[in-house]
Amino acid sequence: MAQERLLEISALTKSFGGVHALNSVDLSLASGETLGIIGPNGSGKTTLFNVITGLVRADAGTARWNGEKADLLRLPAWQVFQLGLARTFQNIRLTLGETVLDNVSLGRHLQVCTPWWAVLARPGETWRRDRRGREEALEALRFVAPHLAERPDRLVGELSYADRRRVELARAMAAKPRLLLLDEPTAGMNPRETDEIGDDIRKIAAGGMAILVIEHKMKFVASLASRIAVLNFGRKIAEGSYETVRGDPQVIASYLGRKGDHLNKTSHRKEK
Amino acid sequence: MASAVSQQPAGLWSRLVAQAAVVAAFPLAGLFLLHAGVVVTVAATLLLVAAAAIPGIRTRVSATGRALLARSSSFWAACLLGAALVPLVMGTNGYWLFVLSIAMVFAVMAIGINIQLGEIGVINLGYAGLFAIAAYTSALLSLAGWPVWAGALAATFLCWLVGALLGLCSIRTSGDYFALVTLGFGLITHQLIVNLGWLTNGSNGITNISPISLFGHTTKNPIDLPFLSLPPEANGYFLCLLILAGAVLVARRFRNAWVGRMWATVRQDSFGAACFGLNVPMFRLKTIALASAFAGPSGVLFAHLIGFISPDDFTMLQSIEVLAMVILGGMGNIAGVLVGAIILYVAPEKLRFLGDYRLLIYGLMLVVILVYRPKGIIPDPRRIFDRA
Amino acid sequence: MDLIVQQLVNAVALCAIYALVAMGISLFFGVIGVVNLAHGDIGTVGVFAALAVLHLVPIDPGGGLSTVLGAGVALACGVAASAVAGVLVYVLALRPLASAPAIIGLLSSVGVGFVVREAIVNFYPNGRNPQSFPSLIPPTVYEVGGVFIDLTHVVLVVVAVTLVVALAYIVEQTRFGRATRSILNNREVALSLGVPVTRVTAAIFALGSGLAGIAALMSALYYNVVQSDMGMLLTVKGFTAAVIGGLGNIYGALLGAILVGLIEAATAGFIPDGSAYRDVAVFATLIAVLILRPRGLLGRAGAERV
Repeated sequence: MAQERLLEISALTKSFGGVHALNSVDLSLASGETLGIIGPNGSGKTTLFNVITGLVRADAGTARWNGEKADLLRLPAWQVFQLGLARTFQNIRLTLGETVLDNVSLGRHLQVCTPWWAVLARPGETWRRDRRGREEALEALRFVAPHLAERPDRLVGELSYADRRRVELARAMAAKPRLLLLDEPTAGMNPRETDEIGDDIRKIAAGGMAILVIEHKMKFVASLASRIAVLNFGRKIAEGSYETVRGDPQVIASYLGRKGDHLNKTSHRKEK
Repeated sequence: MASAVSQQPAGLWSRLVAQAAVVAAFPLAGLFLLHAGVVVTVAATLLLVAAAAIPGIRTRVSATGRALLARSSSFWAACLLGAALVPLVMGTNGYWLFVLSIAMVFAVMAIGINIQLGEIGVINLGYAGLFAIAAYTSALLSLAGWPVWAGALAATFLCWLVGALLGLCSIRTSGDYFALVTLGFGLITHQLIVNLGWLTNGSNGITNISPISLFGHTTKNPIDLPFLSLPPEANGYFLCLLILAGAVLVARRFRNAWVGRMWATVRQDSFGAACFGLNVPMFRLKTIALASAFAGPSGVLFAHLIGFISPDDFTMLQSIEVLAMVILGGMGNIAGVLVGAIILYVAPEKLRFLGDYRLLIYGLMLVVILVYRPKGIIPDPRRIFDRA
Repeated sequence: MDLIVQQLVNAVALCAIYALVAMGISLFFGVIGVVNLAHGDIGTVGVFAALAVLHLVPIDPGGGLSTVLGAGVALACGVAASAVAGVLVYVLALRPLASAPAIIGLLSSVGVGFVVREAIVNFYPNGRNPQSFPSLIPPTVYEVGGVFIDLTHVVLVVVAVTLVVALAYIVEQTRFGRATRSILNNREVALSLGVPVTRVTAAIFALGSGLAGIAALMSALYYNVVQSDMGMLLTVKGFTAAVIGGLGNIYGALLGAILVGLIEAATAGFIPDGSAYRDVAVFATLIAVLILRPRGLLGRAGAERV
């Protein structure tokens, strides 16, 4: 059964001062699918996200969303979001001085915002939408991290690193997107925390969400994604299942250095 | 709305006492202004500054304050009541009431600048230009026969419009470049006022601006209450208080709504805001327009209460004065900004001997505060995690 | 035609003055990434220092060697005063804010400007009023083909050209200049390469402020009158020139200064009642450039503030 292509990227290219961050990359993603993106540092993974979400302008290439004709790459970030793409960031970008709920509520921004004049002239309506937005944000928080939802008024700055990642995740989920872009969701985490976040992400994927996830940890990505794409120096050098990719000589050479022995070690994946 | 970390709600009596203390503080301050000599004033100012500067004292006071005045709207209501009582203790001399009125006029502008500078970090070095536009618009319209309230609406709208134009410029220019644009704007406005003599009467200024009148009672008539007669300056005082209350109300409304949350988000991470659907350049434009509109009522009150305006009232000096109020008071914090405005305007009046050195002290204070306490005297508690 | 040429000739001296101010501003922005709005006021310090020396030290007006020496000493004192003031401002009001957003540094410089202006007003005798500055250059006027050229103008231009060439030489050929260029390029890298960044920056401030002092002195000789706030106008116009050329690019500053001088002279000369509006014309140009081409005509180098 042909699945509808949710996101179709062709020949995506972006250079910074003569260096190709992305070099004619092709990718596609179906609805409900999880695609992993891996590659060594500097291979262009975060640039890929930045270009897709409209933070950085691509030099060349197109990105088709949901089969429509309009090119995603031409849109500014706020319009890309409106189409249904939400993301997290490699270095956590939260407002540390605000509460957990306030941060997650950012995901409901479009539903909450009223025209400026209405803030003064229609305080009741503004307040009602605000409250509904906060309830929906709380729901998303409960889904991702129930223990955080019990005390939504804590300041984000007081949370642990792993909990902050969960807040970011909840924020992206609160937006009820069709595609979730996760940029190294387990960066800086120990194995136990990594497993926990992995469970959270799998739970989200099980609900039918399409996910694009960037990661370093090959085995972790394998536990999430049925397909993996490997980038190196801005080029896609391999794509396929975990077994296909890890056996690819180019991947071994570039990503893991000449010694690919530890690939053959037993996986530490938690069996569900 | 960010609630504080943990509050222990205090008993009802303590809360009432705290509210009463707030209300009483204002008339007491008024009496202080009226009667205290120079030495006492200097001593009190130094004590206040020292108390504010020592972190231990300040955190304890603010923690206690937060516990006792759990709902901030009741705090503001108490302040309003207290401020309204001040004219009752000032006797028949309206001088201090006049000073306080003008201080409140500047405070309204400070609130506007606080929205620009404190909330989204946009610096406006030419705010006096907006002030001038409002004052001259209102003065000229009233001389042409328009009622004051109509002129006020026109002036405010014009300020908002010019603010929107400046905001438009901000889309293409960033940070310090935009500051230079506002600097140029302020300078140009000043030059135009001086040179377009057929409209503005040039350097001579506009005189005989009519006082504000309502139902036959003008700001020049004393207020006759059954038990007391208030000097005519009390009219201006109450009017300014009303406008200031309105300004605070408007600023708080926006701050507590989604707009305020977006301000915080844009301030810390504008990329994040954009990624969640905010059209950041447009948002900035609207913020600048809103902030500029506050100059409208200020300019109108200024023109009609003083009765005379000239280009000297609208130079870069005034722009810096209002900026200094916001910086001194703690950027982002409405209460702090008001304190800064009152201190910066009233203290020099009380410490008259400083007269000529006032500007020198401004400059020194600006540099010292920026270098040693950039968060101001009463920093915004929500900003403890802000970078720099 | 004669009128046009005359206006141009008048403008050249103005260009010279603005060039010196603009180059200093561009240089400062390039090395610390902060807009210094007290630049002109630091120059004013030099002017008043020179004025003080001229009043305190009796100079024989005879026109001989002693006069020239006396005048030279006064001018040198002025330049030195500006240089010292500039370094003080850097150390006390700008360097402590190095890690803060650039806007804070800008505000701080605004405060410094106030302090300088008000200090002059309050501590210099009769500081509130404009003071006359003696014309140290004999008021000879040459006529060349119908156009009148003031000796003062010639001297100013010659001095400015010499200084610009000297500055270019310093920046391009000397070790100090190399250090400067490395900081202009990338401050972090310069630090890691062992360049004594703070000391070099302080030296740059001394140099740029000295130039501002010379520019202010030139303005004093040009108009024969000085007042405590003359620096503000110099700052803004110098800024406009620096921005037009591209902040951080000293050759751009030179180009910008020429343009600003021409705009000012053109407005004063060709528009009826123009001299009142010549400042407006310059400010409007500033705004236009900031909006339309913020990087300036020659693009900018600059300390990227993290």
